[in-house]
Amino acid sequence: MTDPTSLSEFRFRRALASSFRRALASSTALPFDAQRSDATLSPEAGSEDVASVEHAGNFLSAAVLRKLDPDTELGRFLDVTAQAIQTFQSCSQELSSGRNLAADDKLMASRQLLAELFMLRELSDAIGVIVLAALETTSKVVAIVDAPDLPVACTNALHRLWAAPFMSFAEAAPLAHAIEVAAKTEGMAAFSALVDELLEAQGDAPLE
Amino acid sequence: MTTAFLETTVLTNLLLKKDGSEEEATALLSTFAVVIVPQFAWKEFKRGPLANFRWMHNKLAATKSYAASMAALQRMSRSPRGYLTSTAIQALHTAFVSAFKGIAWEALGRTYGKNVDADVLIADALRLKLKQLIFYSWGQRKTLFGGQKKILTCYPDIDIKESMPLLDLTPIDCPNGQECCLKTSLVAQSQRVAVARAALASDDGRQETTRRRQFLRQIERHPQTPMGKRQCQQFGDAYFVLFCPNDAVIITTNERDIKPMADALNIAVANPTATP
Repeated sequence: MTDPTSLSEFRFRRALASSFRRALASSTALPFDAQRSDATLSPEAGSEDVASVEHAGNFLSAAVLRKLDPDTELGRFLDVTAQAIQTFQSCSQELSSGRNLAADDKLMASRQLLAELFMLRELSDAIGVIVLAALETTSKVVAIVDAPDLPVACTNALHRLWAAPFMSFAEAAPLAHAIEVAAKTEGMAAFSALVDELLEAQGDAPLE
Repeated sequence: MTTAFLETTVLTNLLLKKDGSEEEATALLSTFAVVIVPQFAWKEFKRGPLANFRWMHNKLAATKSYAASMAALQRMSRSPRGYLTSTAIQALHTAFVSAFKGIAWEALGRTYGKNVDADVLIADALRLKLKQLIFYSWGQRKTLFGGQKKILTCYPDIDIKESMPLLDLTPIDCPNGQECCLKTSLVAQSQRVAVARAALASDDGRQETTRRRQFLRQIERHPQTPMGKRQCQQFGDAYFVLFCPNDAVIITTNERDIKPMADALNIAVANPTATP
């Protein structure tokens, strides 16, 4: 890259991406228990509003980055997450309306979207752990009426993930745990054997 | 007695196990009005079980292969069984595969390439589950039963660090050259230390017991000798006996090491896994 114009543009874009990444790590664009204000972005918000909101509210959001660079893995992540959120929300609505079969259809449809999100896990471990929890729990639910709280738990966690895909793992782990608790399914029995093995190995000299 | 003094083995069952022993621990602890989890138990938890979970996590992160990581675990293990059996490894593999059932992987494979490979996929899934467990359990020290008590002023209580993709649990001990904050109290109760030492069997042939006896003897006879991180590790189980609050019950599954000392000092011990 010898062209000084390209070089400066490259540096500018790298600095921009870096600042977005930092901002997204601590984004509060959509706390999942907060009331939405006019300045609050959500996956459903029209992309036309994004730039003006960014100026008016003086904060960065995932949606801004999607608008600037929609072809990246992050752009794909945001799009698929928004679809998954909508699917889980529809699932909740169908369930509360008593249309259980339709709700179960939505749950099954969500799994392909979750699988695609898991393909994007290299973006951050926060994405990986939350999406894995959703994938694992939805696989164990025989019928959605057995786990009516699951769509809401998944919606909440994905909302937060959409707003802050680079959140700290310490924040992501309890969100994943909340999904597992909502499903009320049995844990992975085979995992216990590995846990036992690792505990047996403890002693004065841990595995190095 | 209304106060439970939690030892590391039961803390580990509560935080990591999913085989029913965590429920036994919860049931026993629910009979006490107060449960005290000393920071010493959290320190041992981090140094032992959590360090081994970190090792497994980092191995999966480094190899990005389930098969290679399990092979490494089989070679490294010092468990009485010798190694995690092939059946258990296959069962874990199958459990993860079932979490991904009904997915159109071929379509995803065209876009995402090697991320769809089963060995890589399951390695990542297992690594993420271990990381979740590590963060979740270590985070509990701030809230479980009102948070950790009997704070060790010489021990740096630090959150887990990430040096992507690896996890770093250091420090797992007190700093080098630091005099243990427990020493003054130990020297002040040298008669009880002598009773605990006498209760340790001299013929059980285990290095752990021999070192503990030597350390307790050192406290009795040479109280001026420094007590650093190595002596603190040797002290180990004797902590729960010598620092158990008055009228509290030590809750442990490690009766072999704790009970002889506790009996000699008239301290009650309860084991949540013991059949009534």
